[in-house]
Amino acid sequence: MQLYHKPMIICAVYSSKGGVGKTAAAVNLAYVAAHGGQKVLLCDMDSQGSASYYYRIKPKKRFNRARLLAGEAESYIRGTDYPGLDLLPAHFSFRKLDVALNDRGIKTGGSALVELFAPLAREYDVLLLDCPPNLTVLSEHIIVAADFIIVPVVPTTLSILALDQLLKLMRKLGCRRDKLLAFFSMVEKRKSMHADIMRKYSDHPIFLSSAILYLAEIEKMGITRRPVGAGTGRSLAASYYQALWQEIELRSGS
Amino acid sequence: MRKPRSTALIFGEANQSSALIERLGEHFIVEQFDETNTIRRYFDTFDWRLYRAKRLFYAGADTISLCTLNESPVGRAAAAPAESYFWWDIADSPLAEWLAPIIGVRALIPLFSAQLSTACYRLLNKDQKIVVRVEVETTVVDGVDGDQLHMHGVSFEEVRGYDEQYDTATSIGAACGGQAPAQKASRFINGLSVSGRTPLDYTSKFAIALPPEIPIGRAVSAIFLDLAGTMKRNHDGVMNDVDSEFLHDFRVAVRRARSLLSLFRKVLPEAECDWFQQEFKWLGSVTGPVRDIDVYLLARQHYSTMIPASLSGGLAPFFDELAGHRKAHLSALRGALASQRYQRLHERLHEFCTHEESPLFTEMRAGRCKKLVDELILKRFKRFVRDGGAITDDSVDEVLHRLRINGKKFRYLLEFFSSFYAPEDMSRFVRHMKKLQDNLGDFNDLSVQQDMLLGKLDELSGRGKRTMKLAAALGGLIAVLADRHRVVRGEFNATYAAFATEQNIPKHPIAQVHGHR
Ligand SMILES: Nc1ncnc2c1ncn2[C@@H]1O[C@H](COP(=O)(O)OP(=O)(O)OP(=O)(O)O)[C@@H](O)[C@H]1O
Ligand SMILES: [Mg+2]
Repeated sequence: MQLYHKPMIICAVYSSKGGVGKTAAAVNLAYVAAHGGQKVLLCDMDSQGSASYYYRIKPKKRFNRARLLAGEAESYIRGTDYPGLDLLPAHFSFRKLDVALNDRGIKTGGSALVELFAPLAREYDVLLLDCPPNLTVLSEHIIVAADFIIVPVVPTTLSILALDQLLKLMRKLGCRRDKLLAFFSMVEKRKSMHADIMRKYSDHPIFLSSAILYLAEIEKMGITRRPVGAGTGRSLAASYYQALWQEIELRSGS
Repeated sequence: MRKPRSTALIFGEANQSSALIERLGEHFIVEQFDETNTIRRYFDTFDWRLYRAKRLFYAGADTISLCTLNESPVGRAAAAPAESYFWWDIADSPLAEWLAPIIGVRALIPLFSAQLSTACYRLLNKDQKIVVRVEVETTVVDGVDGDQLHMHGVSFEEVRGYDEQYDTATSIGAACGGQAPAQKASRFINGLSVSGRTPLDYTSKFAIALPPEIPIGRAVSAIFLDLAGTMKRNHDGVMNDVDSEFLHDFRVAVRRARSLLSLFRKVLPEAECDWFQQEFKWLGSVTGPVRDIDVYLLARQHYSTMIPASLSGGLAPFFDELAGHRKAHLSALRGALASQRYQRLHERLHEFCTHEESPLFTEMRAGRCKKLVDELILKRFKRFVRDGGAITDDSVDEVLHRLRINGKKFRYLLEFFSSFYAPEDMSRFVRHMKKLQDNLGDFNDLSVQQDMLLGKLDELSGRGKRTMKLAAALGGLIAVLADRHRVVRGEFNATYAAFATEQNIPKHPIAQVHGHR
């Protein structure tokens, strides 16, 4: 019996831009957190189901959007191959989660998602959401429901622009600005634009100091179908994600 | 949220479990990923304190574990292998906290060893995803009679969300002959059954139930044989100095034997009675010195907390010296227990208690034992109440010590023959009596300890720093003991009054036998 329980934290890995390393981050941060002893649930919110794919998990036949919204998520959670790490798989029907959530609307100071996630706090220390790349009602719900919004930023001018838009949206939704934790993703040191942009923004308070380099190891996850830290040898990529998670934990005050 | 399930199945034959793995291969990709071979040594105290508390303790190559009787874990810690374990040997591990209140000052000693071979498998689906975990475990225990006991078990562990696959795997397990283990047929119980020991085969309590119509001679014989048995059972533990309680139980058996002789003196053959009395007295005296020292050594921690930390360091040489004396006394004790005299005592006692021509079984001692015991209890109790009631705040210590000894004898008498009386009356009475005896016992211990420490203090000579520190510590200790001594003495009258109330008296066994006192 634990005498006290730290409240569960919800981290959404989000960006309106596609292909910036959200899923790679969500999959690996979830692994690193569980490896460090926390009970973690990775929620695959993207109907494409990439995170589920990396963990070799398919949803049960009866699972769909309606069941998720009816608060039955718990029954569809599946254990990954790794201790302390479970996954709520994506379903094709999640692509219309938007529409369904729109009907419920965003209440002041809350979201329908908050209620859906609340019961999971009995089981998990950390909820990591892998979000689809768009700016929709679903994104707004997630932004409101999450304690932290972790944004991978490929160091390009357009990405910085997108980050700016996100901050505006957060202001509109009445979210605290310090919920946003950005990190540089898929960094290629030899590209001068990457280096310039990182130099310019790295001291900005919303940026974490850990960055994730562009590494073949991460790219190969599509073939290995497991987080980078789960292989047999020592993994450089794993230690980057490890450092990133430590910094996020530090910011979350735990 | 529902916890993932797990099941253990027992198989009669090794080939059934290998057939199972083959059958599972028709439904899953079966991957073996680990195989371990370990030796698990099971322990308990000589008097089964863990078993009584429904706990098991075992040691692996470099760990020790505490678990429930069906081997679900309670706690686990790293520890080097050892022949036996006291809780203080592992004081810095979390297990000590669990063990200390259960085993107290007793050592955990080996019961038997089991060789465990575990093969770990995972069952994968087409995506190479783990959907069920399976462990095949074989246990081999070498029995005392040279036979080997083999046990085969398979456990299944559900992966959350893969319930159907789990159901498939476990039903294949059942189809291959796997059976749910009976509650009483754990690995531990089965292993124990070939080890030569039976749970609860030893208790320090006197536990024979004499039938109410038993003749005097037969009752005496039964009690002596039981007490001699207790001495024999504790013999090796005393010789090997396993823990302090072997000697303690041994001595209690000797005291009980002496009590029986003295209680029944009038009805026993005089010559035998005198001889046994003298021999048991000898046995009491040769075993005394080691026990006396044990009492101090066991109280070491307690003593150190009774005086300020600034003084308690000075006690170290006192305890070192005691430990040194103990060695010498122990070797004398070992000599005595290995002697012909000791051997002879047992032989003659055995003869006395079992030979049909023994004077124990003559017409003179064929009377109903219960009649005699009824009278004895009444007499002893009257005397106890008379002596106790006469004690005032001004009475000398001697009087209380005598009351304690008579009380103890009286309690032994009740224990020997408790089966003659209604158990509820007996236990209630003994409970009331115990409070009083605890008070008298504390009072006596405090007297003895003060005297002993004063004696030590008198012996000290020289002005060295060590001596001065020791003297200060002893002085401090004596002051605290004297204070407690006064308090305990002050509590006697109230304790006695609570014992001797009118409500209590009519409830004691004499009331059952004789009506009112
Ligand atoms: N640090 C990296 N180094 C190398 N390849 C990476 C890295 N991060 C991601 N990738 C690869 O880039 C591609 C896109 O990454 P990922 O799927 O994580 O991005 P995403 O933001 O989740 O995409 P989407 O918006 O489609 O959900 C994948 O093939 C992934 O393997
Ligand atoms: Mg993605």
